[in-house]
Amino acid sequence: MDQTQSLEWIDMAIILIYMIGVLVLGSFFGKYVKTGADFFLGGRALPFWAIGMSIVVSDIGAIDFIGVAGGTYDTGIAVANFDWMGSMPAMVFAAFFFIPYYWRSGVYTIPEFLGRRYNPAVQTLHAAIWGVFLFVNTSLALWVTAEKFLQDVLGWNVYASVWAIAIIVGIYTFSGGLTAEVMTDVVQMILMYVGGIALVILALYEVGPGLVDKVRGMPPKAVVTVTSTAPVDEAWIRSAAAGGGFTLKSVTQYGDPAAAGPHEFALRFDDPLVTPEMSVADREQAWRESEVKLEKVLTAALPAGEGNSVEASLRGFQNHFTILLPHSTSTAFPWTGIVFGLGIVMSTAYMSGNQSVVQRAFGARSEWHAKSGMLFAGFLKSFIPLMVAFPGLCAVVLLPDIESGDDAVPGLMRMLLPPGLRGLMFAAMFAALMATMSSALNSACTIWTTDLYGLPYRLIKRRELSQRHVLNAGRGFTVAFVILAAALAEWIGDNESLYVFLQTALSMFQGPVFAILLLGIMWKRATQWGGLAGLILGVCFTTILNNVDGLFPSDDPFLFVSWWSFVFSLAVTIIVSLITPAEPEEKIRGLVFGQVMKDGEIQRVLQTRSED
Amino acid sequence: MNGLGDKFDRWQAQFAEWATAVFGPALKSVFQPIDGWLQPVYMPWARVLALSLFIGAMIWVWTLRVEYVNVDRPNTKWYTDLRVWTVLCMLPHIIVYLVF
Repeated sequence: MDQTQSLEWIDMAIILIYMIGVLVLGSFFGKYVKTGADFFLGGRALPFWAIGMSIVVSDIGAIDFIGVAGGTYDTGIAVANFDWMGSMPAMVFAAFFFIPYYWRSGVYTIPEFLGRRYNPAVQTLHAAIWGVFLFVNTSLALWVTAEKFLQDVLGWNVYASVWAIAIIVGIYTFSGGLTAEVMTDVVQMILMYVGGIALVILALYEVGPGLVDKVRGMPPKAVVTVTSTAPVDEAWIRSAAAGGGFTLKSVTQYGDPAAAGPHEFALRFDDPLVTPEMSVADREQAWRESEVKLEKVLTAALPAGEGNSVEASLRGFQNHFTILLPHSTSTAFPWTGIVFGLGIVMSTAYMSGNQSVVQRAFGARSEWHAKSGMLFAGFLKSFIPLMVAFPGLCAVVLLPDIESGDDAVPGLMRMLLPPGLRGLMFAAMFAALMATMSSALNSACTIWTTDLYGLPYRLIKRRELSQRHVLNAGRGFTVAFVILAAALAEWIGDNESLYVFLQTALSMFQGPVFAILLLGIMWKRATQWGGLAGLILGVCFTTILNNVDGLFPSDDPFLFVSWWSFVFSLAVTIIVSLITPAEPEEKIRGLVFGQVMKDGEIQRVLQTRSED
Repeated sequence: MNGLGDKFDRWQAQFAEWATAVFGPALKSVFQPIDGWLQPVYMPWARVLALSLFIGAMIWVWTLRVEYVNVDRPNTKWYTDLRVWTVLCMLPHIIVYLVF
């Protein structure tokens, strides 16, 4: 991120003012925290607008600014499905199906709800994976913020930066709990939207009228990596490509041409195989054929030698405004995966089963505020693609020769933003990372306190934790996690495999957890053994689907895997439930759809149960 | 990539090889026919299905009892009716999927 070195004093001042402001604002809410419910649920006093804004911020990170814009640069607006198809229907379903039951049962966490509906084994299994993942996410966000922003932008020492951020986030999370986090999120969201919208407006202005035609009119781009013992330069590429019938319009070489090792080039040419009349699927097929042909032509031109090779990756831009891509697409976004995997399973599982998201709704001042907070979040999220995807599309025109799509947003910032606005944009991205970190920290502490500490405590001591005990445990975990996250930040940040492994493990739970949550609320005949079998066998099935090659057309079939793991878990839970004894009426009272009860009554039921 | 990462990658490769050999034939006999059936599906059906997800969610909310949808509503003004909120939130998405 060398462009960040050009920040001026006004940009740095904005970032520093933002950091101090967040610390002061967050700490202010500490005086309202007296009990565990105040700490983890904001005293159940949060209004819908704060819940909605906070959900958006905890869901959108700086990675989205960079990664989604990059994805749009490479693939087009199909990437925006994650914020459109993957958000509003799921938000509506969560608001009117799941949230009322969570909210009425007075739980702190999703695993706690699963424990009440099924059994402690389901609760512990679900809590363990989320507890570890959220902690690692906290540590990773800490490292990325320190390394990519404070070190690269301000030139601070990375280790000092890690501890500085840990202290800021730790202080306001320790002091104000969920309320502090939600209220700082409100400020952070406004900052994110102002910065994001400013970038989009400036980028669209720079492109001028006719963005769609300009993007579709861009010639295909092939990124070619040549490994050769013989010298390889632009002249060689042009001559080799011409031999195969490719007339190159431009050649850009990345990196140092004199350096040893593989050489990377971006080639632009008119593709005779693609015509405007072609269907979306036919264009994709034509690009694939050109990619294979180009690779063959260049490989044939290479001198024979051990290790000499050519890798080509070609993409066109005429499908960039097609939101639903054909089932046969080689991208990760076929329409079947988008509608079934994302629209039905992944997004609903995420919006209904992600502790960071629903914890804000748990803290609502009433059920109406919980539901409307979810809807408001969905509405706000509708604008995210405009901020994160449109810069990617503008970059196709403005920055056609960047090496990777991930360079689109940094490149646009360097190109378009004046001093002051650049500081604001960096503060917005910094805000997104801070919000991700504080959200993960608070949710991790909630799960560890309620499920991984509170559940064994209740089973061993045969009594509930007192509100004071919950508060002290929550604050204790906050301090411990902040220190541990800071101490392990570099190791976790450098150990990409660990994070990928945890993310994969978490994604394997999405489909099965959604299946048992759905059946748990919809079907009173679902039993604890059905839920446990659905969860465990569902995760095993997902693991197998993820590792057997050639099952699905897409190169990255996670959307198909989530759909089929959901279907499989649904079937397993139903079958095992039908062959095991039904749950007693008293246990599932108030937790199943159709048993709409008033708060007072359900609280009495839960109170009686906890005293048993 | 450090030692732990290398080890993990090796385990995963070994597991993938084993899973493909053991489960691959049976799973492919299930999923590949489905894949073949989906390949020629006419693209406008994709748009219809996507839109039906948004429109279906809107209709579903209107079929729920109004007392359930609006429990704890602060007042009875039309703008506090969450069914109206649902429609307003869904409309931009419906337009997007119709246009693109």
